[in-house]
Amino acid sequence: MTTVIEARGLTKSFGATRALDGIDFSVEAGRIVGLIGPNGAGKTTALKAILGLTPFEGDLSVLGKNPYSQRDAVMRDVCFIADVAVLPKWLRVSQALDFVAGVHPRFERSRAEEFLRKTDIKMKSHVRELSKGMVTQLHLALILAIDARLLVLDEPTLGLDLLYRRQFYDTLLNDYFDKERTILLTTHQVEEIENLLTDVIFINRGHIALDSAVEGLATRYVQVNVKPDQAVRARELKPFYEREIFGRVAMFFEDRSTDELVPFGEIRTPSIADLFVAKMQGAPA
Amino acid sequence: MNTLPVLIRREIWEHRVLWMAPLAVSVLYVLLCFLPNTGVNMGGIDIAEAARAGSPERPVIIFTAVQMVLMGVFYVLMSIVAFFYLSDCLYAERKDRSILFWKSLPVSDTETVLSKLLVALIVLPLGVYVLALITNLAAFGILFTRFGRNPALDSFMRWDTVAWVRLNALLLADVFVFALWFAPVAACQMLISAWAKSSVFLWTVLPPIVLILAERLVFGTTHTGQVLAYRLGSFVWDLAGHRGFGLSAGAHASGLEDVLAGANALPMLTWPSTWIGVAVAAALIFATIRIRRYRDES
Repeated sequence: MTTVIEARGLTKSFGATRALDGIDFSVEAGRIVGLIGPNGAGKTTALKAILGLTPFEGDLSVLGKNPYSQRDAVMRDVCFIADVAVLPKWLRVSQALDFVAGVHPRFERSRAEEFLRKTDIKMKSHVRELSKGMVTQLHLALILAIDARLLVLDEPTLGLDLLYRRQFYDTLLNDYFDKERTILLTTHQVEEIENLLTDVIFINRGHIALDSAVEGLATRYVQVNVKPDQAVRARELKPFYEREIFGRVAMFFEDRSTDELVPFGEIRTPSIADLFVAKMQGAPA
Repeated sequence: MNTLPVLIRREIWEHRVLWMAPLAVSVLYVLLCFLPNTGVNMGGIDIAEAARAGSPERPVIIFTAVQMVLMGVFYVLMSIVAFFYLSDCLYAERKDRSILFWKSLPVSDTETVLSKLLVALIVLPLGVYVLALITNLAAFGILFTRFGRNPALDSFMRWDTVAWVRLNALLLADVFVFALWFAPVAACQMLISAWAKSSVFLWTVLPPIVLILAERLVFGTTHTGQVLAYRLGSFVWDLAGHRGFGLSAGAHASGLEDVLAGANALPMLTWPSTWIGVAVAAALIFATIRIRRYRDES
C-alpha cells in the first residue's frame, strides 16, 4: 500500500497560538479520509499545508514531495475544492472547460461534459448566473474529469441543500472513487458522510484526538445505553463520555470488551457523529 | 504541455476592456469616414490649400501621417487600457477569491505572472497594431471609393505601397521596442497589483507623487519627476534627431524620410536606459511571482 500523505510533527503557529501542534498522521492510497474537528481545530490549516498554500514546521510529504517547496510538481497529481476556492463570476461554463483542458494534462473533457449534461447547467452560462448548488456541480464536473491521485475537499457542500449534498457525495463515490484514488475531506455534516468514509481523523485544538480506520472503530469503541440504576457501577469502568438520552445514560467506552459491558444495558456501536461529540466533549480541556 | 495560449485567453475573457475599448475606437474611426465633410477638412488641414501647396511628395506624406495619427490615438487609448489592466490583473483574482481555484490547477505562479505581463506588453500592443492596420485599410478603402474621382483628393493624399510597407514594418518593430521600454512600468504595476490589500489605484499613483513632493521639499530637486516623465513619455524627444516620435516628428518633417524616421523607435535598442529598465523589470517580476506564490490568501 502506498502512502499518499505522511505528516510527522506537523506544526503551524500563528503568533502565540498553535493551529497545529506537532501532529502525526498518514493517509494511504485508496482511502476516503474524513478530517473532522470543531471550528478552529486546525482542519483548514492542515489542508492548506497539504496543498502547499502555507508554510509549516515539521515533516510533511504529499505523494513523496514537499508540498510547499515542490508545489508545482505536487499539483499535477492533486486536486482540491476549498470552500473559499470560488469560481470567478465572469467565467462561462464552456470557458471553464476550455481552461482546465488547456492547463491540465489529465483532464478528460468528455467526462465533464457528460456530467454537465445531467444537470441544468448550460455551456453558455456565466458562473454569476448559476445558483450556488449549480456552481458546486460545475466545480465537481471539472474535478471528476481530472485523473488525480489525491482529491482534497474542504467543506465542499457548505451552504447547499440536502438534495445537492446527497447528489454530490453519490457522484463522488460512484463516478470518481477507485482504489487508485484517495480523497481527504472535511465537513461539519458528519452524519451525511459516515457511510462514505474508510478512515477518520478527529482533530481538536491542533492535536489529533482520534485516527482510525472506520472498521476498527466498532471493536475499539462501544456505546452502552445504561439503565439509571446501573450507572454508578458502569462508571467504575471509566467511560470517557456520557450523556442522558430518554432516561438512560449513554456511556462511551474505549478498549473494553463487550462481555464486561453487556450487564449494564443495550450495547451499540457509536456513530461517527456521536463518537465525535463524545471525543470532543470528553476530551480534557 | 503548453499552457500559455489558454492563460492568455483567460486574460482576454476576464478583462474584456482589453479588446472592447480598441474595437470601439476602430468602429468610431471607420464611421467618421462616412461623414459628409470627411476628406475635405481632414486633420485640420484644408484640402484645397494642401492641394495648392502640394509638392510631389506631399500626398504620400499625408497618406503616411494619417496612419500615424490613428496609431497615436490607439497608443493613448492603449496606455489607459494597459494601466487599468495591470492594476487589476493580480488584484481581481484575490478580490473575487477565485485565486484558490486558479491555484488548484497545475499552473505555476511564474507561468501566470508572465502570461499577464505578456498580455500587457505584447498581446495588447500587437492586437492594437493589427487593428490599427485593418482600420486604416478600411478607412482608405472608404475614402478612395467615395472621393477617388475627385482630383483634389489625389493631390492631397495618395496610396503608396512602398511607404505603407515601410511604415507598418516600423510600427510592428516598435511594438517590441516599446515592450522592452515599458517593461519596468508594467512590472511595477503588477507588483503593486499582487501586493496591495486594497486601493491598488492609490498605491500606484500616490507613492510617486509623494516621492516627487518629498524630494522637492527636502532637496529642492526634481530628479524623481524627471526620471518618471522621461520613462512615461518625454523619451520620445530623444528619437528622430530630437524631433520626437510620431506626428510631432512628422509635423516638422521636410520629406517622407523624416516622417518615417518619426515612426522608428529602433534606436532605443542602443540606449543603456532601455536595458537598465529591462533589468529592473526582471527584478520586479521576480518579486511579483514570489508574492503570488507565497502569500497566504486567507
